[in-house]
Amino acid sequence: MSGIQGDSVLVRDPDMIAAEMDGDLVMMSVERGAYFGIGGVGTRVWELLEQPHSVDQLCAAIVAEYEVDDDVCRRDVVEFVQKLLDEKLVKPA
Amino acid sequence: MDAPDGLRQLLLDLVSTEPEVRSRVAGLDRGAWDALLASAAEHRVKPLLHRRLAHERSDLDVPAEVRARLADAYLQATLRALRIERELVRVVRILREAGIPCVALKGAYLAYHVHPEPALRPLKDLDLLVPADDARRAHDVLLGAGFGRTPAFSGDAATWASTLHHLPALRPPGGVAVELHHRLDMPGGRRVGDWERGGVWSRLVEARVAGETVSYLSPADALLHLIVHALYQHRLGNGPLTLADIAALTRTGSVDWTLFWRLAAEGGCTRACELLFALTGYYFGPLPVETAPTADTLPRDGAALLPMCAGLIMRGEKAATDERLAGSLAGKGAGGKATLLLGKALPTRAHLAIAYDVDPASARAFLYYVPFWVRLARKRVPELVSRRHAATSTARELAVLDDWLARG
Repeated sequence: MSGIQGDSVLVRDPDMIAAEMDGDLVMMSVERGAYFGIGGVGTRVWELLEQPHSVDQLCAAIVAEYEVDDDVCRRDVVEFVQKLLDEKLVKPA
Repeated sequence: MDAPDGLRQLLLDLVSTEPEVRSRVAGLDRGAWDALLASAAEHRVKPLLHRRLAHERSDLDVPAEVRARLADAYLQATLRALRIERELVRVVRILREAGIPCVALKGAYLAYHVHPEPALRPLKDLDLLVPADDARRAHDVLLGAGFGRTPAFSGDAATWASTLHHLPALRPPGGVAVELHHRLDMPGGRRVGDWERGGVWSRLVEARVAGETVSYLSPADALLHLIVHALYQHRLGNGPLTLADIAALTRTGSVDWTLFWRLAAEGGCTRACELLFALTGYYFGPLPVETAPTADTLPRDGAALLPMCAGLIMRGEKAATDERLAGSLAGKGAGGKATLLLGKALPTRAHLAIAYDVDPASARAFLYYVPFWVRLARKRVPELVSRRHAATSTARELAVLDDWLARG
C-alpha cells in the first residue's frame, strides 16, 4: 500500500490471536507463530479494527475517548496502522 | 520437598480474594517464599498470584525479588497461552478437514473465554471431546498429521478407547499434548443420562478464533464437568485453580441454572456442587449461583467440611493416587491387604496394555510384567512408603467427605 489516507479502510487479519496482559495486548500470528505487542491507545485501535474502520473513523473514536489533539492523533494513528500493515496484522478491507 | 501445610494454606488464601493474610505474609523469610513459590508453580497459580499481589493484595509486604519472579511467570504464561491457542486452532482445523467435529474442554474454554486473561489459567494440555464413533479415526488423523505418542501415554490405543474416557495423548513436534476424549467421564459410577445420550452436542457454544470456529460445552455443562472432574476424578487434588475456575465461570452470568441443577440431580451430585460453591464462595466472595448455599448456610454439617476440603485441594495431585491405595488398604486385615497388594502387583493384560504398547489379547503382554515390576520396585514402592502416613490420613478425610456426599 503506497500510503494511508483518511478514507483507507482496514480490518484485523483474522489469523491473529491475542491475549490481554495487564492492560496491554500480546498477539500471535497463527500462520507464522510470531509474537507482537501493543500497548496504550494502540489496544483501543486494535479493538476497533475487529470491524472494518477507516483511518478517519479511528481518529474520531480516539479523539472522542482520549484527551488528544486531532492533528497529533491523526499522525500517531497513521504511523501505528502503517506498522500494523507492514507486519501484516491488519489488511485493507 | 513439599511445602508445609501452613504455607500451602497461605498460598490458597493469597490467590483468593477474601481471607486476611497480612500478618502471615509479613513474617515470611526467603526460604518460606521459595517454598511458597514452588507450591504455586506446582499448582500452576504463579500468574494468578502475580495478579493478586498486583491488584487486590497490592498493599502486602512482598519482597521485590518475589514480585519480579511472579511477573516473569505471568509473562511466560501469556506467551505460552498464545502458543497453545495456536495449537488449538490447528488441531480443530485438521479434524474439521477430516470431517470430525470436536469440542474444546476445560482449560481450553476457561483460559480464553472465562478468565479475564488467559495467563491466569495455565493449561497442561488440550482436551478435546470427539464423537465416540470418530475417536479412533481422530487419533489416526492426528498421527497422520505428524503428531506423535508421548512416553507417558505409550499404551495400546484400542485398550485405552475401550477402558478409559480418552485415548493416549498425542503431541505435535514442539507442541502441547492433545487428549481426545470420547465421553464426558462421570467417575464413581455416576451417570448423567443426558450426557450419555449426547445432549451436550445440541447445546454447544461457538467462538471464532483466528478464522476457525471452535466449539465449547455450554456454560452449564462446562461448570458441572469442572466440578465432577475435580471432586470425583481428582478427589479435589487438582489444586486451587478449580476454585478460581468455578468463581470465574459462575460470574460470566451465562450459566443456565435450571439446566445445571437438572443435570446435577441426574448425576447424583447436587450435594457435591453445593459443597464446591460454598467452598469457592468462602475464598472468592459471594457467587451469583441460583439456589446454592453459602459457607454459612451449607446444610447437614457441610460447613464443618470446608477447612478439610481446603487442605485436600492444596495437597497436590501426586498424593491422590497414593491415597486411593491407602484408602483401599484401610480397615483390611493382613489377608485382605495381601490380596489387594498381590492384585496390584499382578495387573491384568488390559492394564498392562494401557501402560505399554502391546495388544492385550497377545501372550506377549505378559512379558511386560518385567518392566512393570522394575518400575514398581524403583519408583512406586519407595513413594508409597515415604507418603504412607499422609496418604492414610488423607484417605480417612476422603472417606468422611464421601460419607457426607452420600447422605442425601
